[in-house]
Amino acid sequence: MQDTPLLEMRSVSKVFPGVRALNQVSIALQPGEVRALVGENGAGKSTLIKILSGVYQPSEGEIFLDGRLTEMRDPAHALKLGIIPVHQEVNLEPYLSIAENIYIGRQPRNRFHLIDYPRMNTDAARWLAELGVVTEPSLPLGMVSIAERQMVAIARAVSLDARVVIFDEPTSSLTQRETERLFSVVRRLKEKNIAVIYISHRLEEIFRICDTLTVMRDGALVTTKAITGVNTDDVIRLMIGRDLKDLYQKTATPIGRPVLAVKKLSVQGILKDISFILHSGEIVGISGLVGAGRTELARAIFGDLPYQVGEIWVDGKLLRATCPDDCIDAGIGLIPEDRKDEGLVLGLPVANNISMTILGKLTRWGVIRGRKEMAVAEEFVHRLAIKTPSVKQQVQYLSGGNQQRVVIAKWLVTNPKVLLVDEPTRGIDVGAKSEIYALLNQLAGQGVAILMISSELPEILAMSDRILVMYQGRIQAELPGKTASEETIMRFATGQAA
Amino acid sequence: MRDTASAIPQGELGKPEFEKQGFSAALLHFLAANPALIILAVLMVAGTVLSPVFLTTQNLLNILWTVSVLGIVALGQTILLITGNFDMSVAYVVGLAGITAVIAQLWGAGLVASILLGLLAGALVGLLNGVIIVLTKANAFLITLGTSILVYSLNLILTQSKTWYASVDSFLLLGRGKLFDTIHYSVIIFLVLGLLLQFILRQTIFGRSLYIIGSNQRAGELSGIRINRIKLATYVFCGTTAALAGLIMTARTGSTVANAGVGMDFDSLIAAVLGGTSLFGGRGGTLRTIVGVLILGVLNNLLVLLNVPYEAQQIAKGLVFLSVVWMDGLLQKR
Repeated sequence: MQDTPLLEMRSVSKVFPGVRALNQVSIALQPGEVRALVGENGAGKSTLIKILSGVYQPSEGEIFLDGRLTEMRDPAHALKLGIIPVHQEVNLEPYLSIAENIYIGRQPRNRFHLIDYPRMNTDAARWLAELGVVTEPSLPLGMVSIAERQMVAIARAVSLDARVVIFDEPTSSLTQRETERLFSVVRRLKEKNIAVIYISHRLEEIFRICDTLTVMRDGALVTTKAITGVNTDDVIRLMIGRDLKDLYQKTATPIGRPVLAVKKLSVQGILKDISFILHSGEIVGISGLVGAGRTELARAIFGDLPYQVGEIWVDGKLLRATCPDDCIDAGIGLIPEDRKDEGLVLGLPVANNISMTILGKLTRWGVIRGRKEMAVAEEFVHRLAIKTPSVKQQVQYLSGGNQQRVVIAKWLVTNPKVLLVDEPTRGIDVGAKSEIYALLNQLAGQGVAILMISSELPEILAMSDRILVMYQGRIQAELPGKTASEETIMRFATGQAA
Repeated sequence: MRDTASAIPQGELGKPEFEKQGFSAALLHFLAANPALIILAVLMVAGTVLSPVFLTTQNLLNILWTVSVLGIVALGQTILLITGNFDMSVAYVVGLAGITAVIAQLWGAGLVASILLGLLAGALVGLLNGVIIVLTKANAFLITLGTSILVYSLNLILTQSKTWYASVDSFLLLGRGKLFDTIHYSVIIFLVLGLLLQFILRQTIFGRSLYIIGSNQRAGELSGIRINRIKLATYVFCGTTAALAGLIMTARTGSTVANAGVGMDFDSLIAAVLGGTSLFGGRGGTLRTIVGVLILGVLNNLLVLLNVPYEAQQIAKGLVFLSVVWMDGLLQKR
């Protein structure tokens, strides 16, 4: 296997404003190799895939295809070069037929220059058969199962003369049997000398079909190894092992009275029988994989997701909320996962963003008292050390860390009893992160009960008094913050332990 | 610690503060932010040069009088536009309000009652629009186009496709009366309403909520703004202003026309966007709309004074509209 690699990335980096999403990553793939790509959420896997498939351009580094320096100008160009991603949410056209989906944009024509349906259907059937799939190619894609759709996406890849096929969590919505069929298709790709990049949280799958393993962490490459000779524990350790102890300065706060009680909360198909209690001064971490229902839990508590079963009590009072406004009145705040789409109004000044949650308290006869609004904003800009030339500055010009502080400020002004924090440090720098942690600690010290959702295990471990691990909409485990380890959390989060 | 904000030189951060600059720099900045004012000024100068009649008090008052009905409709439309919504039913609401008032008068209603009923008719259509939009979450543009057809049919039914005449004489003052015998009441209503709305937009919770909804509805919702309530209120308001415009229009002619406001749906959009309110929501104001309405009025007046044929007038209007939409798109991308 010492020939020229089929695909090689040399020291590729990707820098976004304020974040280095990918740092000097080098990877080489041989023809017919099945490579597992693993790492925690935010490790840089998606960034790497997006660079390979032409969605992002690398900030530094080079990519070689067949030993030739290559640039993936855009997704269409990457497809043309034979680098074909098969996405989590398969992006095909549900109203077109299976054959049309395979030949989308390059349908065969007859002599009248119209689409030659008979030929397209026969050709499509041939590609599907080659993967061992028997489906009628003239059926609308929307009528077949998700697994079949995935097969269509793969057939399309193969018919496009694929060199590298990238699978991103391909089995997340497949049954056991469908997964087996996917594996046999992966083996066929391998026989055709196509290289495969396989991303999955399900480690046992990786051991079954992959030849080699690349582990990523914090945007950097940890190691690349042959799959033989490593076991699940090794992989988990490689994924999470890091030394960032000084980043978190968890201050011990006395745990007070119960403030938030969630009782048997269920939302059809999303949350199942969730019960827990949050005390004042306590930070409870919620861990789990993407799709485990963590964000939905926060939304349900915040009146943003209606629930059929269960009760939520705040400070001894049953919460009857129909919208977030009711919950804000009850003393709950939510720092959402997506700061730009849900947390801030980017085109408005810092002051207006901070005052958004308490406009009712800043008015006299419905008229906003501009001076008071400015004064409140100034106070919190000062208190949270938000770096901005003025409170009149539009938030879009602030850095990620400062924007996040504006979101926190906007909830601090409401003087909340419960603060729901969803991915508080996503997309911000390490330095800014530790300041956010300090802030959260300080709030807990003032008696605020904090529910912190995070995909970053070290963050969860260092900050939480208790940890709730979610898996498929349920609370799979409750662990004490002091003794929990990343390994145990991962086991519960992946459903390997119950 | 890396911090992108501190890395940017101070001068590039947001708007420069006026206090620290000379008057001319502040003026330049103001004009750059309000290109509509420049367009209006250019038209005024052109008018003065091209026509001796243009810059007479009588002509200017005439322009104001002509645009005030459309202007009032456009003010309501602006409120909706700021939230990123539209109301295409305003045109026939203009007719409906007049019809309601006149018919109420025929049934014996007095001045105040007939005016209130006319306004109520507009408010109810607005409520209907708002309820459908809140419940279905479907496209506001299309829904209000749909209700506009319903309102038109209602107008035809109410009038039995005939013309009816206002029977309360004092009602006609609303359209024809002048303050100090110089300036029409309708002009005063238009300008005062524009100023009042600007204050509401800039200084009240309601106004602030509109900008937040127009810029990032989701963030607003998660910050405790009751989106549906405010949407309903804006549609009711827009319907009511359209009705007010309709009452004035009817009071001018003294008679009902089923399609009295035809064309005002798009014209009110053009005026608002021309003034600098964005079609995408989150940006704009009613003072800007006053300027936008004046541009349309001056342009129209000038074309008439210069005896430009009707076809060419329409071409000019079409071109103005296209350039405005294009400009709005450019500003949005920036």
